[in-house]
Amino acid sequence: MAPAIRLLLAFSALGAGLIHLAVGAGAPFPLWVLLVGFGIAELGWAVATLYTGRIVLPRLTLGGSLVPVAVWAATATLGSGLGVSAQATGLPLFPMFIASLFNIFLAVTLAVLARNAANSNRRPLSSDKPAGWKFATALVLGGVIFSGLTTPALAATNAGLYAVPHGSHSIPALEFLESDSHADH
Amino acid sequence: MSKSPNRLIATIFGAVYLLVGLLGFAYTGGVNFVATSGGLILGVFEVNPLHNVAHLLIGAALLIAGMSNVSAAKATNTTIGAVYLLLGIVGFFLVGTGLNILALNTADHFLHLASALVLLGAGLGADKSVKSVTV
Repeated sequence: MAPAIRLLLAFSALGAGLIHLAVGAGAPFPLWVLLVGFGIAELGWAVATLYTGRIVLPRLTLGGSLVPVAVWAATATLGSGLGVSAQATGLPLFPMFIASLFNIFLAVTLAVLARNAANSNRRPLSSDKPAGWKFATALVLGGVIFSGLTTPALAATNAGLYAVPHGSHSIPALEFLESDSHADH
Repeated sequence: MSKSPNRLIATIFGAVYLLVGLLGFAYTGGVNFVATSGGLILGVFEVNPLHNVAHLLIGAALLIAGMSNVSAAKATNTTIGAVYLLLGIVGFFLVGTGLNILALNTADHFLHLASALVLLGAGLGADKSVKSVTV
């Protein structure tokens, strides 16, 4: 398998993980546990896949990556069908949509890779060596595309609503000293 | 050097961050070190002198590592990428507190996340045959 594909799978897991953590941080208790759990698992899988240079637990990941989508579908159904308010389920639409997109991309790509591996004599999900400009280009393009999707999704979460603009945040201790020195004027 | 994605990425990102850090000072002449409204680089990226220093340090670390050797570049890319991501994640759970340095609602956070992904991707995913060297 091309290292670039493995890289994109890891990026999509990182994107989904970040969004699930951000949404989970502002979600009510049972969903907090589920979403933070998904987020940690996704980040861990992405780092392990990048680090080991092969797809970690491909079959488990294929199924597991669809679980957050199912949970979101269930809470959305509860919200619309059983009269539970959006506040109670606490899952914002846009971030969860983007995270689900990442999860579905992950599952579909893994399914295609597994099918291709079964049809050929190559060792399934084996890795080639990444090298040079080709890998660097895939890296930068992947980084731009996935962060381009993830950033607006994160901004639409509860954490994003309270985030401060770049250039407006500072180290609290230094800020205290600054305001103290201005007290004399 | 062109054989190593880590050295390529570290050198390019290091040069860009260093340039952004230096350029930042041209836009933050009368701005307090930790001012809450800084200058705008190219009219988009808001910075204060604290950010300029952070950008300079990150840029210098990456550039030096990128120009040194593969294992230095790999280690620096991984560290800076991981720290960027971890600071962001910690910010999700510190909403509304003074310790939250998360900033997501302006254009440049897209660049921060892209940097984190690219640096981490290069550091963890490329140059696997390189063993860490002891000097």
